[in-house]
Amino acid sequence: MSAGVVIVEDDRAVRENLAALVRSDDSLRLLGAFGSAEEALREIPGLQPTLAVMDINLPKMNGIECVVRLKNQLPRLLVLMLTVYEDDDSIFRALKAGANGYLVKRDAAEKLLDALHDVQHGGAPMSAHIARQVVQFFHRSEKPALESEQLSPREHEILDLLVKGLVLKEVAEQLGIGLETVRTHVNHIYQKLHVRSRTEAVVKYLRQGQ
Amino acid sequence: MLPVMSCDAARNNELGIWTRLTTMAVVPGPYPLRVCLAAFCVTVGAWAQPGADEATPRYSARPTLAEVVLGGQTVPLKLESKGDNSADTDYQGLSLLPGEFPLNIRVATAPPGTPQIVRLRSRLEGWEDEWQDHESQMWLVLRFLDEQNRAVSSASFIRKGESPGWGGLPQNSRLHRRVDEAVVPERSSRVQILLVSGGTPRTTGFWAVRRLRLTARAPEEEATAGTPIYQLESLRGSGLDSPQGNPNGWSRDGVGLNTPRVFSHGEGDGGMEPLLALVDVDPTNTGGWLQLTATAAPVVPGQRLRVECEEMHSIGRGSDAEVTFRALPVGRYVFRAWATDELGRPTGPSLRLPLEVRPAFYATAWFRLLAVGVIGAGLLGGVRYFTWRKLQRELQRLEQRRAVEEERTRMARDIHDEMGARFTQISLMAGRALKSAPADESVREPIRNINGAVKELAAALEEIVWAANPSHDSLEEFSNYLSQYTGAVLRDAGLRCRLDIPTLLPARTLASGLRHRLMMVVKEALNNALKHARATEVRVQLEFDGECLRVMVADNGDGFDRATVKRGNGLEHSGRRMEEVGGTCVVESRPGAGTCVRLSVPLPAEETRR
Repeated sequence: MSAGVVIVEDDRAVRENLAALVRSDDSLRLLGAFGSAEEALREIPGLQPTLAVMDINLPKMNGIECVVRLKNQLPRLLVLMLTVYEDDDSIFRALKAGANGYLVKRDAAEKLLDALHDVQHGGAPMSAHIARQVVQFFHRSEKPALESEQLSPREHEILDLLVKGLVLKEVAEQLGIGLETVRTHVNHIYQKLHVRSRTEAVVKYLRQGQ
Repeated sequence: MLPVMSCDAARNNELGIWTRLTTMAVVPGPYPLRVCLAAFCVTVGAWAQPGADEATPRYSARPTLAEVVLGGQTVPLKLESKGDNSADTDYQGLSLLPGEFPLNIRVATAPPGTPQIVRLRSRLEGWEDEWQDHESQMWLVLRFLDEQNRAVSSASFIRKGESPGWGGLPQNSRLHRRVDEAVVPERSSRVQILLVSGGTPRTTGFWAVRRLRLTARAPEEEATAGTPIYQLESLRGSGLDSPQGNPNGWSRDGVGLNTPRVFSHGEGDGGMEPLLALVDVDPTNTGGWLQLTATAAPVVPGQRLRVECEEMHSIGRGSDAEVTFRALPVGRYVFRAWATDELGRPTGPSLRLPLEVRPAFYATAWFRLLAVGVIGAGLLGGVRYFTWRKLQRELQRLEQRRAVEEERTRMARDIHDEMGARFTQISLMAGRALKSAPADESVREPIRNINGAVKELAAALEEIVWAANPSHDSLEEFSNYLSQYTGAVLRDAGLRCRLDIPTLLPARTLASGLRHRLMMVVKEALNNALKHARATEVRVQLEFDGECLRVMVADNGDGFDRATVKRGNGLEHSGRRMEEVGGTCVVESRPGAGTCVRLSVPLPAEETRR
């Protein structure tokens, strides 16, 4: 069955081109394309999509806040962020807010469909500079964490290699484990990042609630 | 609003809350409670318990300027000496031109080690009337539990700033009805409610909630009102006339045990009604109300939950804050910051920084007169109507130029956003064209070239905008960018990338010009490796020893003999670029042994930023 996709992008020309790209793929079904976060929040919950392509810079409410709100209503929605700037720290903020991947706009023509399939199948891209920011975030986090929200030694090891510029395949070779295992670890790192940033405040309640 | 509440005022008309808060302050308790005691002793003055005087330093926190950055340059600060310790902290005024913006002011508690500011508010007098809070949040969290009471997931709803109807003090405020919605995730069987302060570090403030109500409806019952599954109509329990009361079904928790309180509010005809409240007076603490799992309401995955309550809040942040002004009209202003208590009422001396925005030369009266005079002379010799139009245009142009200078930084980014969108559009169209193009290479190659050129253009523009943005003026931002840029370039070219760049670096300023030069040199070195050296791996290393920043770019390619090969030219430019900033650039290369570019630049020590 084809996966339902929605697009949120304020520039009409870019939006239409992205829509055409999604329509060209038989395994994807375009459910709607919206020009603002407000419109998206109104329409998307009724469409029940599997995947969302979300521009970070939207007029009025930005894409990050839109992700937070959508995820409250559709916890299983998979979100791919689109950005003009790869260095922008808003990518990292979007990942903390629960986005499942990101794509620089100028690469969209070649990589959008692959990125959507990757996200759909649990793939988790993590470049060196995102890995750096993950390390910096966990280092600075002021609140104590639950054990299950701390990075495991293995996850630290993988982050260190990613920070050094290794790609997932090289990480797998270096550690002598399978590529799928590395992907799973990276997915866990993202989950912990997400949980940690969302529930930094409730950490001790979680501990107590067990 | 009262600047500092006097005891008389408190006795006469504000007895309601303050006597209650006094009560909560004197209940003996662990350390956080003593902190709380200190906080309230100052406010309630005459009622304070013995020992209150020792505790007053809590509110002696005094805001000072940590740093003022004007157009990317740190401005030296001088105190207006008055020798009076109790008065406001006055700084010598700052005079600036419209083109010098943005102005970034960072306020913090000083000196280090003195009590933290409970809540910090600021205002630019002459520009705004309201005190501004610096953003921070409290949260209402729905935590979903499975059969074994393990947390499955949570939905969080943010509270920030002042609620509609907030009137400066709780007893002057109206409760505001708020509704949020969430969907019950899979595997959930019950939902537990948490009210939390400290979702972001440094949150302080006040939040009270009553008539908390959860209703659930199945997806097919879209139109119905749903079934109530939890109601906190009124608090029941023991000791509810005291802030330390124990409402049935709830427990308090957190590092800041003083934060959760029971609070009475006399609105409507219900008399004094106890509410669940959070009173957070410590920026470093977290605390909140936790609904006991025994009373958590049953839910079914897929249900839509509606969370309603009546509430009031005033939430800000403590300890430090940052304000940025992108542009201000010509005029005189005073920037003021005040340490306040958790409700936003000033507690002591404020900080004053006078600001004067001078007219740029072309906006001054004499220049405009001159312009009018010059063009007036032209009027005599020309067609009246035509020259009148010209004058209008001239004045308009001057006006525009001033506006452009004021918002240069913002516009650079706006322009890039627009061009970025167009680049994206072209690149997407090229991608589509390639899909439907015939297999003929004479058709496909030009399309690929268009795409490649557009992407290079977009990347170049991105680097310029990055360098121009003063928020990236730090060693850490530079290192992150270096890591991102190198990674992206080598990944696109299919080369192996090895980075040796420390993740955590000391806080150091790297001004726009220096960052731009360093990136140009790194780019040149990477370019050399990619275009000429037939390398398969590039290694980038960054070191900072506290005084000197060293960056090395090494490839495993062909290398070259500098005596015979001309293409070291680009790298010689690199040497000059580094000399301009007092640094050096050394290129080591031998045929067959790869090329290594080492650059170093002194980074003089400065005050630490954080």
